[in-house]
Amino acid sequence: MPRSKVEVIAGRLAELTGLPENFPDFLAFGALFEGPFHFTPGENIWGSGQKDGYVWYIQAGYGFDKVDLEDGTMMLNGMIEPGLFVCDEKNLLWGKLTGSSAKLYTHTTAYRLATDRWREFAYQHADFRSVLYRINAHFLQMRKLRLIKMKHKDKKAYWEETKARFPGIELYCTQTEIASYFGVSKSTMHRIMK
Amino acid sequence: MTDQPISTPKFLESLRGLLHPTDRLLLQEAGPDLQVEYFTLPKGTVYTENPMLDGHISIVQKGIVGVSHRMENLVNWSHFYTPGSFVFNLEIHKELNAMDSKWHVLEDTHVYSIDTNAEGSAALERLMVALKLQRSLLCSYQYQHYINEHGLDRHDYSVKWLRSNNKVAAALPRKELANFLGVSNSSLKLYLKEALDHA
Repeated sequence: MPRSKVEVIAGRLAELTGLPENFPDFLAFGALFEGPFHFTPGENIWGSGQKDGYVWYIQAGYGFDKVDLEDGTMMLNGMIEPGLFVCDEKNLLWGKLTGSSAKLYTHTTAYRLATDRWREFAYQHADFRSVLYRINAHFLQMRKLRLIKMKHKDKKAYWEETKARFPGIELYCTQTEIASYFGVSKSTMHRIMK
Repeated sequence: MTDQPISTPKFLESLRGLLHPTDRLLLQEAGPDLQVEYFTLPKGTVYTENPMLDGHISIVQKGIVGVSHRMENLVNWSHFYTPGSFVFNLEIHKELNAMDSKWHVLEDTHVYSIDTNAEGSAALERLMVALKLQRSLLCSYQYQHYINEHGLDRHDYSVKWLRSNNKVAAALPRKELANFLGVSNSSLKLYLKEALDHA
């Protein structure tokens, strides 16, 4: 029997935190999401410059999220895959226009929650906030590692590792977007990929 | 640490900027209850943790703090806190510090700070809930910002960075500076010349 939206989202939060699936805040949080929304390959979940922001939960499907850089180019930021909560962080933090985009390359099913409702929920649920702080602390560690890898890991080895983790990456991201991900010029990236 | 009167408009303006726009009025409502602290981090100190700042939101008023991490036995600088920067001790928190992150105080550094666990009026407690949530999000987003900066063209970025951070650049050995910018020693030499030529 297919699981309901609430069960899917609460179940994933339970997996991430080790708390039970019937943790009341998880059930209440899951119930706030709209959806499911279905996307086809090539569609964006969101694009740059949008006013309305959402926290998305990806139930099924794959894609890439890209960040707008100060110089007007875009940088590959990471992969969208099942089980992830994704959003534009500038929009979430300060309600600014989105500065990133998320493009899919497979059929995808996702649920969404408007960022103002997300914020209201967090303010009203102290236990949920504690869980959120733990998850964000984990993200901080992941990003530390990503930054240091980007700066200092052997680029050829890092490319091989990334290609293995994100199969088909060259088909869905430009060489410039990939080069930025590794912190190298486009010509250096071209050499590495060869 | 000394308690300072709230004659710190810049600090309060930065706190306002940290809040989501829909919450900024909270600062006005709770302002009179807000206790601003003032810390000095002495030059030369290396912090592997700083429990004194647990639960705090701090902003550098004056000075420089560099942040290093270890990966495969290499020590790497990732960023520097300069006047106006938010500083959170989560990145060097004992239980979360698998990468051996450290703060290096490169100059005597003065920080304004508030304790988000302070108790008081209902307005103050609402403000603290909002600030804690923003702090949690920003701790992680700051690193995304450093990642984004490293995705920019190395030449342009390095020259601009050297121009606007000449004090930090002067405080580091050349090899570590090149390592921080992610460029070779010979490129750094060229970029330094370019930054100085345009200064």
